[in-house]
This record gives sequence, structure tokens and C-alpha cells, in this order.
Amino acid sequence: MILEFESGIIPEHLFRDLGFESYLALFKQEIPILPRSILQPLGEKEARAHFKALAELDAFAASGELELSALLQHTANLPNLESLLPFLQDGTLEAFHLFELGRYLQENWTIQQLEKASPLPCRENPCQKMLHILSKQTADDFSRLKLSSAEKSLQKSLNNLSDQLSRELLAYEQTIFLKTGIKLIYPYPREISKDHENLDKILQCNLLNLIEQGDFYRTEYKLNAAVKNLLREQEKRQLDWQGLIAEKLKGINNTLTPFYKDLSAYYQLRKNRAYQYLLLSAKKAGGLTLPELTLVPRINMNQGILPELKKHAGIHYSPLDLSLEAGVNVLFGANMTGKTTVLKTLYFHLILVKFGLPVPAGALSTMFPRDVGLHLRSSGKTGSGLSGFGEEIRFFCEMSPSTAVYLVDELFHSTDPINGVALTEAFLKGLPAKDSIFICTSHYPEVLSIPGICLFKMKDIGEIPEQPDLNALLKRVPYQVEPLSPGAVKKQAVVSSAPLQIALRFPLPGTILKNLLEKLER
Amino acid sequence: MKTYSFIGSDKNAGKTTALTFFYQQLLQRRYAEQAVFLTSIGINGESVDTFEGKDKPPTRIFRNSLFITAGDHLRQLGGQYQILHVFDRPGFTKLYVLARATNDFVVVLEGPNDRDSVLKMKKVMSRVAANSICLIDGSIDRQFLGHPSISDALCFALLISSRPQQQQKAQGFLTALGLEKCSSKATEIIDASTNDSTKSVLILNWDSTVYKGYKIPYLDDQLRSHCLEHRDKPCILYIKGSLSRSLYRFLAPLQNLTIVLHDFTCYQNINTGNDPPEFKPELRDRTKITWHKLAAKVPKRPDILPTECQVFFEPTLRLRHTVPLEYLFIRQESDQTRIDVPGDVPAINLYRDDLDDFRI
Repeated sequence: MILEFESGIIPEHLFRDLGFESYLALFKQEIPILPRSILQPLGEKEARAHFKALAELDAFAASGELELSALLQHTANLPNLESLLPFLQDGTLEAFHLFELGRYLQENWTIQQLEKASPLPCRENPCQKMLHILSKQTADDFSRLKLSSAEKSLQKSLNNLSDQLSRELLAYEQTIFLKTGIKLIYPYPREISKDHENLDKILQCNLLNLIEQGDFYRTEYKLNAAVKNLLREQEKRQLDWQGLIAEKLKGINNTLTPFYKDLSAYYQLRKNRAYQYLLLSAKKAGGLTLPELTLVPRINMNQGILPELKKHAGIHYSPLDLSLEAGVNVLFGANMTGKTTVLKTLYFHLILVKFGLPVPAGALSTMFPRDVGLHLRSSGKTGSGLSGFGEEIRFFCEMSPSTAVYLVDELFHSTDPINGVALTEAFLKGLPAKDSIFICTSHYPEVLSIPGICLFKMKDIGEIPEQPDLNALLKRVPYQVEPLSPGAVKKQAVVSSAPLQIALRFPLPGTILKNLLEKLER
Repeated sequence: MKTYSFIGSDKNAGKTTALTFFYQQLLQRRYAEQAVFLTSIGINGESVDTFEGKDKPPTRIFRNSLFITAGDHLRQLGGQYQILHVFDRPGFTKLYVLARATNDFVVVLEGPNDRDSVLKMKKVMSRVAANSICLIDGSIDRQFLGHPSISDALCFALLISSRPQQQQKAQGFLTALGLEKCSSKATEIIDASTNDSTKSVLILNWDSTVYKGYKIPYLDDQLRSHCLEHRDKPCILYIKGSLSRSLYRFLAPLQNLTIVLHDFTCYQNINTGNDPPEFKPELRDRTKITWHKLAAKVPKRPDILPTECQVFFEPTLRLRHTVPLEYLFIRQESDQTRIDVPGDVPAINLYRDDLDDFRI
């Protein structure tokens, strides 16, 4: 199955940067009944029902009552019935349709045996009855129609006639050879040159017509009476045969067509269930978890992972633990402490929740976000004609008022610090707080004194050695969030010189390094 | 499973006739113990011969033969076949049935029209009967038939007419089919420098890639300038796309160049008859295959002898992927035409030769 997100929901740069494509590859598996699906964001009610159903199946799988790998393997054997169902509805199924239908029903029966703990919630299951009809009407695993004795006898006579015709044609070719000396194979015509040594004999042969065509004659066959009779008889019996088979197929169709509605509904349920098995199977294989949807606006993430970052950071990667309440949350931290990564990780998980997918975390309990938005620092986009500041303002304009989660990196650092502080204060005080979560990162110390906001800080990179290896330093980014108590707020704003210390470790020009040292000493 | 793909120089070159004849011979002669599959790339032609205006010999499937065709063509034939596999969505654009005939009957053959589908189909066919022969009613414009993963051998139906344009086209196809495979060293270098989207590569002195093209080669101006820039040094030019008439003419003077075409279908040097008479670049002998003059079958026409041509195509032409041409089926519309055919390939005129002489 190829899974894709509906376009326009996740901005292209985030789709690429956050590794959504690699995540979707977890679900890539050949399942004919689920060839491709374009995922659409779920509504809250739908999402709750979806995750509830998944959790129930997952519990059966955990207790050993459902064997996911076997179920998925058999599901992958189910033929796609999309093109067959209209023929069932019209009563025009052919023998090869019966073969496909039989295969589907047989495989489905096996799946039903494996999912007794949680059968499909269908009103009417027509599969057993249809399978019974097909078993009665077809033979050798549905591969051919079961013939009555009259049909068998006609088939035998048709084959005898074919053999007889072959013998007669051979004799006919032999006679032509004896009469003319040329070896012909019916029905291939022969071009005879006008100076052919046996031309007279050929012209006189009553079994051939010669048609003049430029420099040569072209033979046409004048079949003898025996062959003609056999051909006529063959045609007649062929028509009889077609009539019998058409009647037979009509009878089979008449018994199967009434099941059309039930089978269509069942097929849809089977597709849904196949999708659930696929999600749970990928969940197991990829170490994912099903999110728990809360009724209160809150997010509790335990050991949340951004897979793309983990891939690059390797053993140094630190999963995210974070609890957020409704309202405004501000995240402080020095450079290179992973603030942006926290926002990206949250965004990645919440988008997956919105699309009904399992998440790469130890546990995630979250409100259902009607909308999720992430704004990363930008210097503007040529395509939109907006500056970085314009882009940021537009992000706020597009926010929905309730039950949403918005994440903004470096709030209003897109303008000068004086106006940036003023804008930050104005926005943070005015943002809706009741049932939405807003989280931003900021360096402005003035923000720390805004009442009613939750403050967090990133754990610092720690003591920086005098001569550290830059790569090793980059790998030491802790990616850990700590709540910031009101008492520690002022200290946090004043004391942190980590950015200067980190900058000193980069291979910058000497004069800059000197200036940085002076600043630190002061 | 050995796969023979049947292709024709023209419409009504006798391709389907050749295939049905070959099929009957297989059943009657020494291969009777092997399973025989029949299928087609796309639909196997019209029911009426547009040249003769007569009914074409239909494809008659004989009992126990295996075939693949679109489900649409099996209506009215119920009960005369046993289904072995159905190829349907999502892997296939329409429903195809692999079946064994339980009676003799006439059917229109229609198989998938793209490489991936044919490969999937072949995989199932090999599973059904590993020791088998598969006959594909193909088409020369389907490039993938020139790949050894699809075809083990080609059977070429050649129309010989009195129309000069058609003759040149037919000769062009024969030339393409007779081109040799490139050396293993060239294969190695090309494989190392290409991926699925590479359309051309220019390799200097056998080891240094100077240009990789992703455009259609004959529209790639950069490719042309690189070829000119390095014209004095030995180069390999790999082309996965058509060596069109214009590109052929452009490259004709480059003596140090070895052109490696992806497969024979890339050779599109089909003379349209619109070229100025003084420019008919013929392949030099080093590139040519050993020609067997068809003089015994058709009288020579001195006015189209290649010796007349004064301009030569200087590069050496090779193929990256080759499929051997195993049989040539000739349909001779004109006795006055002379055409060269590869000497080591059995050629038969189904309309004139003694068909008993045909050997598989």
C-alpha cells in the first residue's frame, strides 16, 4: 500500500525536513485491496472512534488472540474486487470473474478463522453463501466451470471434431502435394512464380484457385466437401456450446447477483480492517504507539522521537518528554539546546494524530488538535512575496480560534528587538487560551514577566571543555525540556552565556573570537 | 522459459502470420512436449489486412496451450479454458487472464503494454510452466522488447516492397538488429555511470565521465557540444533514447567515437527519403554485421547499392543490451527489390518457400 497525505496540509519544506516520507515508507506493502490511499485529516469524532478501534484490535494482538502477521499475509493475498463488483451487480460475471471471486472468498474465509476474536462488524456476511455457490458451480479451485454430462459430451464432441478436422486438413494438404508437387500448409497462401515448373499442374488442381498478382499467382484454397462439412459442423456445435455456457453463466449470475449489496458493504469493511491491520503491523515493526486522545486540552509526551533526527544523531539522540497545558507556553534556552527540535517533534506527532496514524513515542496522550501549525524562522519566501515578518504575521492570521495547537519558533525575531518585544507581549497576552495550546520559543527576557504563561527551559549543553571537537559538541545537544520556576526566571535571563561560549568553539576569524572573549570576561 | 518476441518492419509485414505459423510448428514438431504460451503486447492487430484487404489468419489457440489475453476477449468463450492466474488492478491497468485452453478456439490476444507488467506476467508464467516457450506478438516501437529480461530471441517479419522509403526503413531495422553488443569494459563503465533517469553519458578515454545527460538525447544541445569538444579523443557515448536521423547526421563525422545504444530500438536512423542525395551516411564495414545478399531470392537493383554512397558514418555503433535475432520472416511485395539480411539468421518466406524446410 502506498500512503500519501492530502496535499496542502503539511507545508512542503516541513514534509521534507521532518522526514514524513520515511515515516510513510513504514506502511509500504503490497496489498491489492489497498493499493494506494490519500490520507485526509480526521474529524475529532472520527479520530476517537478510529484510535479506539485500533486500540481494541491491538489489545487482542497483544493477548495473542489476533495474529497480526498472519492476518496481514492473508489479507495481502486477497484479490482486488473493484473492477469485478460492477459485473456482479449487472449479473454479467464471466468464468474468470468467478475465479477471482472464489479466490477472494476462500482467502477471506481463512482470515475470518484467524480473526474470530474480533470479527468484522457487518450486518450481513454473504461470503459463506457465495463460496458455497461457487464451490458447487466451479471445479479445481474455481479455475473452470463445472460441466454437466450434456456439456461434457458436447465438449468431447467438439474436441473430436477438431481432431477430425486436423486429419482431414492434413489429407487435403497431402492431396494438393500429390497433384501439384507443392507443399502447402492450410490456411497460409502461397505465391507461385509464373515460371514455376509445376505451374500447369497447379493451374489444373481443383483444390486451389490461382489469383494473378503482378509477377506471380497467389493460391486460394478450395476446400473439399469433407473439410467444409466439418467446418460447418464445428461452427454449429461451437454455437451450441456458447449457448449452453451462456445459459450456465446466466444461472450462476442469477444466484450471485442478489448478494451484490452485502458483498460491497463487506468488501468495504474488509478494506478498512486491512488498513487497521497494516497500521498495527507497522506500529509493531516500527516501535510506534497509539496516541490516547484526552478530552481536556493537554499534551503529555513521553519519549517522543523525531525519526529523521534520530537517524542522524544516532546514540546521542534524546527522546522528548514534555507536558503542556492549554494556554501559552514559552520555551527558553541557549542556542543549540534543541528548542526548534522540540517544536518539530511535537508538530510531527500531532500531524500523525490528526491523520489517524501511530506515533513514534513511548506514550502520547493528547487533545485532538483541530488544527496544527508550525512556524519556523524564515527570511521570507520569494513565492509569496512576503518578508520573514510578513510570513509570521500571516501565520497568526490563519490560526483557528479553538482546539488547536500552534508552535512558533523564535517569536517575532523577524523584526527589530524593540518592536519584537512589543509584538511578543501583545500577542502572548492576546492569544486564545481556553482550549488551545500555543507554544513558542523566545530569547526576549521581557517575555518572562508576562503573567499567566507557562515557562520552560531547555537543558543547557553543560560545561564546555576548552578544546572540544566541534562535532562532538554538536552531538551533546541535550534536547531536554525542564519547567522553569518563577524564581529561576530572572537568573535564567541574566546568567546564561552559553551562546557566547558555544560561538567561541567555532572556527571564526580571530578578531571576532577576541571580541567574544572580551564580552565574556566583562 | 524461452521467450520469442515477434516484431515487424511494417504494418502487414506478416508478423502475426509468422507467429501463428511458428506456434503451429512448435506444437507439431519437436517442442510438442513443452508448454507453449501465447500473448501480445497490446492488442494483436486488426482483423483485416490493410495491404491485401482480406481477413487476416486469426489466432487459433489449440487445446492445452497457455495464453494471456484481456478478459474482454474471453466473452463467448466460457467453458473452453481453465484459468491459472488473473492479473488485475492495482498492478495492471486492465484485467488479463492466464489460462489453459481446454478446446481449440479462436481468440484475440491482448497483453499488457509496459515493461513492468510484462515482467510480472513472465514471473507467473515461469511459475506455471518453467520448461516452456513463450511467443509474444510484439511491436517494434515497444522499446522494452529489446531487453534480454523480456525477450530471449527476436523473430522479425520483414516486408520487402518497391517503395524506396519502406526499403530504407526495413534496412534500418535490420541494421539495428544486427549491431553487436558493446565490450564488457564498456558495459562496466556505462553501468557505473548511469541510473534509471540517465539518458546519455559521454565517457572520455574509457574512464572519465565528462557529461551525463537527462534530456532526450536528440534534443540535448549540451550533449552535442561535449561531443564536439572531445572529438579528437577516444570517447564512448551511451544513448538511452533514439539515435534520431538528425543526431545520426550530427555524429557521422566523429571518428573516435563509439556509440553504445541502450538497445536496438534506439537506432532510429530510418531514412525518410527527404535527405539530400549527396548525404547518405552509411555505416562503415567495421560496424556492419556480415551481410548475406538476398540476391538468390530477389534480383539486385544497382541504383540502391550502398557502394554509391560517398559519405560514411564514422563512429562505431554498439548496443548495451542485445537480444539475438533468431528468425527472419519475409513478405515480398516486390520482386525488384534487393535488401541485405544478416547471413547467419534463418530467413523464410512463408508465402514462397517450402514450409516443410522450416526448422526450429
